[in-house]
Amino acid sequence: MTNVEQLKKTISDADKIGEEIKGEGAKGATQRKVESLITAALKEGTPAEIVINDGLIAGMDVVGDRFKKNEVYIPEVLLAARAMKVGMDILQPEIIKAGIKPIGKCLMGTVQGDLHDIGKNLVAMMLKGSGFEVIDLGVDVGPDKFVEQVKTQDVQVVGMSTLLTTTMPAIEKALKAIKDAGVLVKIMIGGAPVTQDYAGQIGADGYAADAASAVDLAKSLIS
Amino acid sequence: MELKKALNSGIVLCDGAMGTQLINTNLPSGMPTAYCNVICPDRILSIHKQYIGVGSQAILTNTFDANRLKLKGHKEYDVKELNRIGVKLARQASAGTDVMVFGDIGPSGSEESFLYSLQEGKIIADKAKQDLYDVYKEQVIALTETGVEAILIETISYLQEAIIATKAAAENTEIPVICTMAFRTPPDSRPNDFKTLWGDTLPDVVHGLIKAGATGIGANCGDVVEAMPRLAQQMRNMTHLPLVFQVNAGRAELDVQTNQTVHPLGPVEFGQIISEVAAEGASMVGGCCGTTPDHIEAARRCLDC
Repeated sequence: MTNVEQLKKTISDADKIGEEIKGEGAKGATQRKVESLITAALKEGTPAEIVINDGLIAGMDVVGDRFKKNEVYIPEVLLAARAMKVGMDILQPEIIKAGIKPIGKCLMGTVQGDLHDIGKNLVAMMLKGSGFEVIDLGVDVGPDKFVEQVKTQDVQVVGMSTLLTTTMPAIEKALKAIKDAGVLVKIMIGGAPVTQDYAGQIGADGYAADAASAVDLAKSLIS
Repeated sequence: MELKKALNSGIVLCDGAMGTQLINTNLPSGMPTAYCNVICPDRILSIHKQYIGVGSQAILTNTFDANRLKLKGHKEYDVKELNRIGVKLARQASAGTDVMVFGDIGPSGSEESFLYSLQEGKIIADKAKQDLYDVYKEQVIALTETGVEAILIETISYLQEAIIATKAAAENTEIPVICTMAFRTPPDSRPNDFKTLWGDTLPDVVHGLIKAGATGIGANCGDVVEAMPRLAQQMRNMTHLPLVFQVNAGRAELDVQTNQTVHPLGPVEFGQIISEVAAEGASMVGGCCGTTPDHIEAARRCLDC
């Protein structure tokens, strides 16, 4: 197996990453493995783009699929995404050197009144892993903050999330504020109580049921 | 009344949702609902009284999010005070009755950073566990000191965290400690393969919580309403401890016309599920998100007939 194939396998073996936290565990064994595989692949002359696409992203795609099928759960996805992030950090200088541009720029936030962020963080991590530049505004983000950031940052996609039905109207408010500000940007929404119907009703550009689908959606929105 | 005595004389009916009832109060955005204990104590008192009025034998304090981590950034009241007032309001509502008061504890909200610290080697992992233990211990002591019949830890969906919370309670109070977790509906191909939202298996949950010192275990909320009776049956096969089931009124939806939260499960269907859960061996039942005094009244009728 080549280093890149091993890298894909390391990321996609999400169960093993999960196992790591159950025992006494050497510090971040999976992350260290990712580090050494990437170093070895680059040394062999493998282009950073191949390492990212066929290693990190391909591995994360497998994890996303397994999550949809109830084969792995939130902890495994979070830990796999974290290992991928370690890989992206190491590759950063190579990405700059090779002049690889982000495929798009995305603004993310949990809407006003809601402090839940695991789902939003997961989407942000997976977008980064898929080549997006992501600005994460955090939780309890009001309409004004969304508008201000959309105006000053050159983003193509805004992702809004909420876990509560009670804060769903805050999505609509933020969405209206952005549209009223007249900035050309695509808005995608998600979170436990959010549905495709709701997205249609309030005029969002897209809805995704899980983090892997959110990445596909963001890609389709910028194409 | 003592919990043990109450359980000996039949199935105990708890109350229904508190948070759902508080949606229409003017709580500032992002504020913990425990703040209502100070901002609108009369409202809390009246909700408690409504549940007692329709036949609840135990009520939960409005302290679900009154832990140090959830209150971070809101410095006006401390953990001890909000929990103390929460217990006092429940006590006041139940004065002159046999109704028990359970100290309610919810998730810390720090699952993600806690998970990452478990990956960072023994020293950091141990410190994170101790920190989380201290968060729960602080709330348990505040509730116990003011006087409750049991501690009820609920809605946690990550077993590692639930075990720490249960231990923190069992090691710092003499009263019964109940822990109920949020489960997912299993895929059709494996109908009995119940797992928490974070993927912990049912045997791991049952044995983990018992080992941590729980005197009652069960399920609440989650995406599993119709499967609750089957879940109770599975749990009953694994333990003789009292089983506690607080069922939510289905998956919450937003009515876009009115901007009101609606729950699909009405009182009649709720009562039916409660009877089925009780028939499968649950000793204590009640309502979670979306349930109202009407739901509890319907459950009361179903349990009495």
